[in-house]
Amino acid sequence: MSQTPLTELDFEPIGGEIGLDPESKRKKTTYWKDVWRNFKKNKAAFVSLFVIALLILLVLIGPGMNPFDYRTNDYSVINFPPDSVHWFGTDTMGRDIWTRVWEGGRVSLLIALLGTLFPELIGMAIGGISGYFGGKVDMVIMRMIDVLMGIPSLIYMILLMLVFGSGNIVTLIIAISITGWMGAARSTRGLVLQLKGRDFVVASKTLGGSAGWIILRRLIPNILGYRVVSITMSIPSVIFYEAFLSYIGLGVTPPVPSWGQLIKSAGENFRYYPYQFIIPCMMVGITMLSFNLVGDGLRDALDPRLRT
Amino acid sequence: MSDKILEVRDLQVTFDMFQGSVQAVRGVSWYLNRKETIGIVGESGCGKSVTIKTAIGLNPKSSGSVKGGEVLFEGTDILSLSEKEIRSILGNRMSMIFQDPFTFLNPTMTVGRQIMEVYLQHHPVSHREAREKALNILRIISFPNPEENMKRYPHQLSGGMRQRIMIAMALICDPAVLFADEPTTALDVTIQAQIVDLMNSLKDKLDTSIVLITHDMGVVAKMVDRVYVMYAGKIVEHGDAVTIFHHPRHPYTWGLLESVPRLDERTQEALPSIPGMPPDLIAPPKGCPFAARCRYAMSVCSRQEPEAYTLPEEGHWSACYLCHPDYIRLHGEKEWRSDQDV
Amino acid sequence: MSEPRVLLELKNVKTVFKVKQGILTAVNGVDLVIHEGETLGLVGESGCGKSTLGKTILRLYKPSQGQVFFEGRDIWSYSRRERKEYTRKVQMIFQDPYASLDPLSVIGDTVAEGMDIHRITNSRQEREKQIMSLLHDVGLNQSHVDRYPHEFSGGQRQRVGIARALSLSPKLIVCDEPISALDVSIQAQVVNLLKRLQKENHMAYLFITHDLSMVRQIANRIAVMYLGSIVEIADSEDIYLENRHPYTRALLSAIPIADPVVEKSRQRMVLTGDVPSPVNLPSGCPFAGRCPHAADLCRQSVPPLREISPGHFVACHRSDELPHA
Repeated sequence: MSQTPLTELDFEPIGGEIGLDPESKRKKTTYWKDVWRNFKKNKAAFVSLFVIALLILLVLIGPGMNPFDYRTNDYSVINFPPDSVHWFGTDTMGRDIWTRVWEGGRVSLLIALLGTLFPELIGMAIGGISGYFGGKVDMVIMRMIDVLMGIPSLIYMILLMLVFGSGNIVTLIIAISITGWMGAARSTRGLVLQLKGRDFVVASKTLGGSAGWIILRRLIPNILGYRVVSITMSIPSVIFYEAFLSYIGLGVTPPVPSWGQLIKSAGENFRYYPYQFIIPCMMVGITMLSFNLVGDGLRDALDPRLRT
Repeated sequence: MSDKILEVRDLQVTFDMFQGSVQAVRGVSWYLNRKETIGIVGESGCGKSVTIKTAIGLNPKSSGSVKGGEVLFEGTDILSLSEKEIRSILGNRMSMIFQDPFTFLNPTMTVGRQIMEVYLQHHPVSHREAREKALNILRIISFPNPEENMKRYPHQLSGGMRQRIMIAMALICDPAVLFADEPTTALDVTIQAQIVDLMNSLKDKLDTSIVLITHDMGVVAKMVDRVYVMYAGKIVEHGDAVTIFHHPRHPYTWGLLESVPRLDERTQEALPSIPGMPPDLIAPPKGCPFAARCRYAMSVCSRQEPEAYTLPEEGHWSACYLCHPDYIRLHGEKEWRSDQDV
Repeated sequence: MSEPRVLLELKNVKTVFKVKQGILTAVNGVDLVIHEGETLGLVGESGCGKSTLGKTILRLYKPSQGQVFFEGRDIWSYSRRERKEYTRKVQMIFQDPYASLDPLSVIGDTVAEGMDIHRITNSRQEREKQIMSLLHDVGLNQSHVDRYPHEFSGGQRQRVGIARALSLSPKLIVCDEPISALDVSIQAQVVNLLKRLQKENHMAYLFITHDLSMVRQIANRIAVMYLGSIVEIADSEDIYLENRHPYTRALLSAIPIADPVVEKSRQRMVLTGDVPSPVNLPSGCPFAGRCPHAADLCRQSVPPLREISPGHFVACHRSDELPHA
């Protein structure tokens, strides 16, 4: 069949050891590298990530970019529309809106970040314990959550504001944490229940791993992937919640600005000075949208079924 | 020629991944005659499932992974059909049984309904007729209490019963070709035996040709007429069942046969096995893909790929230099050394 | 050879679970002995309780009745320290090579988990050395130590699982269907590996499987289980050549032979029906419902496990009447 005939030399046995485990020819990757590669494929999410980075940057350096501060009234420039001096215009007390928007962004984003992280940590710990130990512990915790969830969160808010005094950021974060951990606990518990029966967790157990070892080394890392999505997705709702609380007067109090506070005070003059209202609204909108899109992209990137 | 109902010619399938291109199928040709059962045998990752998925049109040319070749079903090239045309063939003229019936069945629909749906999709008939048809097919496959069990949901049935439901769904439209992808692997041994017996009995009752994909030579021995042995995206040996089991000529086939423990033979100290594992098809080796695991590997094997060398038995060929005419001229024929050859 | 020492003994072990429909009896009064360095094959179909039995031995399930003795001590009377010590002596290999490795841990960390938990290695270098030698022992390429499990084939992953179990130098490894998820050609590799490791390390195996053909190659004795009960137990060769229980025969008969000529002429005993549910067990012999030889007596009373020749036990009322294998 082949043109040149094969000779004795070609049929020389090679010998040597056969069937050794060959070295892998593929590039090394890690779980998170894979996730990042897939995340980048989602253009909207990728752009959103940049938008968030930009927002954070502006929140940090924005107030220092012009000579104004957020609380000094200047009655010579009341309700100026945006121009080259006051880039976003001024408000009814002549304060620079550019400065106030980024100053307010600090407050809003700080609350959003901490208001997401704290309840997540509390929820993960409680949900993890509930799911891992099961039985009576689980039943007590779950019934407690059922009861607590039945009470509208506004009631907690108002009560807490009465106790700690309203208007400061710490109170707000505590209030949001106290009302927000239940959802995280429930979801963590569900994930733990799922993972607990998986062979690699059972393997840890048969190797003598203690509850702490298993929860820290096996369960939390594997749950984190799933929780990251809902953490990202819940940031916008906390931002919105803060804006809402400020709007109804339970949030931060003037002169400290937050996006909700800015929207509230500008709402009264919306018909005459719409830019005062629209700019902070846009900030809230862009931030919420970006976080949602990033969360969406993360969910797809983390889903093993969609991974290639 | 006219007897070939399905023919795959020089099929090449490559999947692009970020780590490189995986050449899953590298020039595979086989055919299936009317009323015949063939087996495609090989380890997981050898490309047998990809070949079948492509053959039933689940990898259309438009997806970009098919790099060449054609799949002729009753004369038309499956690869060039539109999605709609494929849908009208799939489940109707060609159907498939999967390894795990539980993931295949819809958990929220009664199994009877699911069998009927398949028929209704391809035939403009009333519900009552479809029901009759479903009952009929369940009787043909000797399903216990068909009337009663049709009203059940998948989770209410055992693994063996679910596999029978899937077989009923595959057969209700009286397909010309039935593909079975490891139909018994997920089942218990005693249930496996039932399913294999059932499929064998169907060959006589129905006009269906069967393509069986498996890694288990034991199942192959029970069911098929001809065998294609597949390795690293290529067919390395072909012959009728008796030839492949009694006069195999490719060392990979020898390995597959030896690794099945035989109950009619005594225990050995170490089980014969194929050492190592198949090559990663992201970078297929230059010479014979089996050379790295082959105890007969020669210097030519790692240099250039062997072609298919024709052997005396009807239709028998093997892609191994041990079957090269020059090798045979110099060293004589190399037969499988086993006490099975009497 | 002197009488081998008993390593593990199960006395009338019963493990039940509460389910919606009633009581699920997974293990129904099992007596079993595993000697040092031997392999006991435990064979049965899915749902027969063989995995539950394995997990009961690992202290993952507490038996509702009966006792498990390891080196003469009841494993449920252990102190906290003894419990941890027990995990060094008894290890497990899992069925599903995909589910049994943490997808977020590299191979090296997975193999070293036991050593980390028990703080066996003193330095980073020693840990590294141990990992490398374990990988070498199970035939894995040492360059894979920092790769993640999703890159590996089933056979390779199973080797990782074996290395992990081996890392604590256990006296007993419960192998829960270690090969049934693998290709036949790879199954033989893994069985050979397990045999070699047993010789080198003098461990005992409880080899749980549904496949009577492979277990013969590794087991010294084989126990056949059906619906939570042991129906036959004997030396490996006796199970194949002198088997007396109809269920053992059915299992053997169901295994295909890789030869189309032999296969066509072979007389086979194909069981009808499915394995009954272990919820609310039937009275009488558990196998009576599917047994071609079942008589009235079988449906009424549970046959005891009796010794018909030294070391060969059968639980069948009619085993004497049935023709020999």
